[in-house]
Amino acid sequence: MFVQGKDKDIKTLIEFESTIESSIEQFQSVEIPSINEIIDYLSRVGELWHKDGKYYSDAKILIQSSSSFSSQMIEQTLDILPSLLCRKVLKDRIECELGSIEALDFPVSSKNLKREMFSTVGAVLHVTAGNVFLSVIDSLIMGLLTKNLSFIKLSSSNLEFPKLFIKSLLEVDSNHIVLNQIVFLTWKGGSDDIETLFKNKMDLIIAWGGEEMVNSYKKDLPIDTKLVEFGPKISFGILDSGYIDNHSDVYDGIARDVCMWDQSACANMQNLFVSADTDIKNLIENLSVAFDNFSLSRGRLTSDENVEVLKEISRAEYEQFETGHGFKAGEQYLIRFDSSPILSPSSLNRTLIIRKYSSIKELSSMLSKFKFYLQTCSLGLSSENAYALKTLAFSGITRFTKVGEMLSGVNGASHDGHYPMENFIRRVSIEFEASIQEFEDYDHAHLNNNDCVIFASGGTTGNPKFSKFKNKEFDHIASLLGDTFKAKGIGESSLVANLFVAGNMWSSFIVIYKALEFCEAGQLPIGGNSSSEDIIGYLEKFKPDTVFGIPSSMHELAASYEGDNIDFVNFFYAGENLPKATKELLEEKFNVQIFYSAGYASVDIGLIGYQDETCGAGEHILFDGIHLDIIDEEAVITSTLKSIDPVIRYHSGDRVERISEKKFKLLGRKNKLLSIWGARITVEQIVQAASIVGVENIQIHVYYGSSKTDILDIWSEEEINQDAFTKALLELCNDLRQTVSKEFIAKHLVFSTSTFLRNTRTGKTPLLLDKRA
Amino acid sequence: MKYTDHLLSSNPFDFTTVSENLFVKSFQEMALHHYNHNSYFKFIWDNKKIHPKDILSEKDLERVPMILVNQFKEHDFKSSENIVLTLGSSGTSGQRSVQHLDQYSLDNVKKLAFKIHDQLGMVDKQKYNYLCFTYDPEVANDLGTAFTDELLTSFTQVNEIYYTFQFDKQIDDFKMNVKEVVETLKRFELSPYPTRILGFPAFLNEIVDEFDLKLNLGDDSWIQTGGGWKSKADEEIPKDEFRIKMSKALGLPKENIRDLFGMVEHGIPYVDCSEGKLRIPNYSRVFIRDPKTLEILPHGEIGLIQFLCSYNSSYPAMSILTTDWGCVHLEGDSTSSLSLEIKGRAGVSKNKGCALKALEVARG
Repeated sequence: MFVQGKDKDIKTLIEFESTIESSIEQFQSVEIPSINEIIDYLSRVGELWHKDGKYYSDAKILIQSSSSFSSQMIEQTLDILPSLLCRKVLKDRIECELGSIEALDFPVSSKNLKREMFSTVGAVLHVTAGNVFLSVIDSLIMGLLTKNLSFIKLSSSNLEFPKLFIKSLLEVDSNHIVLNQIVFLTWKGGSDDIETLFKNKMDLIIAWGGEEMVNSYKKDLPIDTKLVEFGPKISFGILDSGYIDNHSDVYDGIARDVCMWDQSACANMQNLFVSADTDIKNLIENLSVAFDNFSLSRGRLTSDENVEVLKEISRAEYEQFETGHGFKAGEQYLIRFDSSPILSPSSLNRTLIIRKYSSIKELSSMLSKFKFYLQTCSLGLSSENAYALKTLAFSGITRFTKVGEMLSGVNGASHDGHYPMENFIRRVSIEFEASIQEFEDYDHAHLNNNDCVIFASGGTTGNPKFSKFKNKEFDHIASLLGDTFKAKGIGESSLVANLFVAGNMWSSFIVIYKALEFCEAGQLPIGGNSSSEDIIGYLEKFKPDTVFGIPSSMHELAASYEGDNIDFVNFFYAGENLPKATKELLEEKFNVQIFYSAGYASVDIGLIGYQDETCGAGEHILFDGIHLDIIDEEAVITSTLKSIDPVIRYHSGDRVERISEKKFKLLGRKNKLLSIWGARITVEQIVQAASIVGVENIQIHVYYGSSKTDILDIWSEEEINQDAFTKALLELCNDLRQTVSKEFIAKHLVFSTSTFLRNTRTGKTPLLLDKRA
Repeated sequence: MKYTDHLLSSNPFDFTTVSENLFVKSFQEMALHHYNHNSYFKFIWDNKKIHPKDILSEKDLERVPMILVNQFKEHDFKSSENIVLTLGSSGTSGQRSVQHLDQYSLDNVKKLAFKIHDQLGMVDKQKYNYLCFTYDPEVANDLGTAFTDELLTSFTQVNEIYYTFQFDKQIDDFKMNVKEVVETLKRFELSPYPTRILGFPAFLNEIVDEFDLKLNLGDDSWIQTGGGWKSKADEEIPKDEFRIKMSKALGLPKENIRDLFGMVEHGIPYVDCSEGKLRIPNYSRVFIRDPKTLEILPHGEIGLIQFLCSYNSSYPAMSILTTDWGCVHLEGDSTSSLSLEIKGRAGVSKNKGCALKALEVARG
């Protein structure tokens, strides 16, 4: 057969044993490719299987000679292969079934655990059903994506198609990177000695097929070999007369559910349960038209299959004798009624048995007796869908679809009640904080970096923190923010200057830009890092009616402006509180009339709250999807608006006071982060800077200076070298270094030699005293 | 039932225009009886727009409506309430049929069985020892095979009958004591009476192999197998090979090794002639049908076996389409040379793929 890229003739038990052992050894000796490499190979193979390609046409000829399906059915099935191997589909499938793609390569951060990765199971034997020839490839794909060594037992009736598939894989994988994981073998079913050999050598056996086959692998299975069975299943429809009467396409849908793949798949409809008031004669007549019109011909039936159909016809005749209900035996199908309400398989090959049910509850009770065997149910009810779904779900059905969609399948959906791919991995949890640079570097470089926007937060040197938002989520957040601006009158007739700082992976400028887009406002994307001259020039030229910016930066701008050509009505601020002095200055210099908070948010969390006309100073209302807990005055946030780097009980560092369920008031920062001069400096950095210059005890005071700009006043009991301190602080705080100049700091950083102030209530000496309003 | 009485009194292997016509008339009269006494029988004839009075010739027999054998497993049919014996099939396919015999039918089946065996040289007035690879009828008297063996031992006088499957109360089932079987055969070898071995060929074959038997049961001894190889189908050997092997191992003529094919629903035994061919008597008709079109296939072609008979007035199984593959051979150039060859069970017994084929779960 075909062993890791090479043709091999394997017949005897000894040859099988040696093949297994050498394959495992070979597999373990080479480096396992990354998941992206594997996906890349498979997607390139998928491209080779397009409808006009040589593999498609060769496969069609090969399968025609060995399969009983009609040529049209074969084509329909081959059409699926490229989509099965498409990059997006493969990734989505892994994401849906396992929850993470990256964990297949590396230990990644996990919601509940510190880190988690997926290791392989090892050697996997796939035993597939011969009824649908793509099932081999589908099972193999799972083995490859999860980096296991796959031994595929081929059915003697389905040898040539897999060989052709390997040939296409060889075309893209000449170095056998992925082929190293594949061994195709065949042997006669029921060969006990070979089956025993595999039971003893494999880590996992995955069995797709009938009861006899599954049981043969279950028997005498060693404890260290796992068997996952996707055994024989039955699927059916449940419709009421109201649904049938109101959906003219229901008959075509049922025809599709029955006839596709000639009913050999586990998801094909075998029985149709209809409500007791259904007109059976009318139903059979209409169904027969739909079955006649089904575009794909039935394949060849074997003589034995014909006999099974004869049995059904004889049952139909007896039913007709007993109850008068007729049946329709078409050229390629049989539709019959059975007065027994009990589920039973049909003879397949497009034989549909219709039964009546009296109530959903009774139907569910009956179905539950066959729980193990139930799979798909197409449900069409005119009312009480929720009740029906909940009741029937407990009968054992593992999949509900609409009529006509039983064979469609959704990528990444569970199969027979669980995710097949889950069986191919071992989840490895790392339950301690492993502060390994390599892990964190991997997270930044690989984790969820596609289809997202990444912002920097914290702004500290060394290890800046990053926060990721899925692009769609970020758009949504911006639209929510935009709605709050619209409520304040920002719209088509507005012209808005955006003076938040752009670039450097900071979020404010971009989120405001996007939010204003949703408002359909005119925009001036000036950016707060433009020069004062440029800012003033643009404001004078374009005369926006609204400006967005940081209070301290606007304060400085207004303080230095000597003209009278800038006039705007609205000022939206964020990043800092709006000091009274700044407000008065903006009113005086720029005639600002209305002051709004642009919103309460942080890069780590995203949106938190907004202000409306009911809010006083510092008050905000929580956005929908945001939950606020208050612990020791600190806002602890949980957000449903962000899925990557999820926000679950996130300590914001802000002190708040709850006013009502959704309304709260900001009281200022916890004594850890100081927001000053448009930058954020941690208290620890200031303390450390002092320590570097040899001063261990300081008290930090912050207040407004005479020009209404913040003053940072470092109190100590001994002299501090200003230059040295400034240098140390700038080295420690990246954000400060990027925000203000040394000269600015020199004007606004002062040192006082004094005894420290004490909290008269607690008697404690606070480290930080922020006297700004 | 005058024609039926006359038919069953005639030589079963005498095929003349008169005798063939007799079957047609017997069939017609019995069909009319069932038509008038069984509503399902009437239904299927009416559905096919044919009446028993339309059966006037051999050709008309081809048009007779068939009932598929599975219907007899799924429903209980009767055309009389005066049932004296109910027999059941062995149920090897998972379901059992039940046949009901009134006194008339029971007498008929015994009579025709005797006449068929007599014409094939198997009736003898002398005493025989019997070893029956079957169930002790004292306990298993509801099984068709047990009835058959009791019937088959009535064609001679009986010295001793040993039933190999004795009921074991401890396990609540039938059990074969293999050593005892071998001892019995050895004892029979020494007996002044010849031996007849009846029953499942697989067991006899196993015992001959296991014990490497070399006996001399004598030229008057017989083996009559029946019931097929059942669950030991993978051990089956061709009939001719079996006859040669048993002849050598047990020391009796190959010509005395005969097989019997029967279906409890049908009732007519098909017995090997001395050449090992299952002969079709004039008491029945056998057609071979295409499984898809149900057209009658020519001699020699394999299809589904359809049996027609006329002896049974209490059970409407006059025309059964079986789920067995077989073919009819014309050995010579006359109807008397028709033989039946059984090729195996038809239908799909195991799943080909993952769509559930048979639910074995008990239904509450």
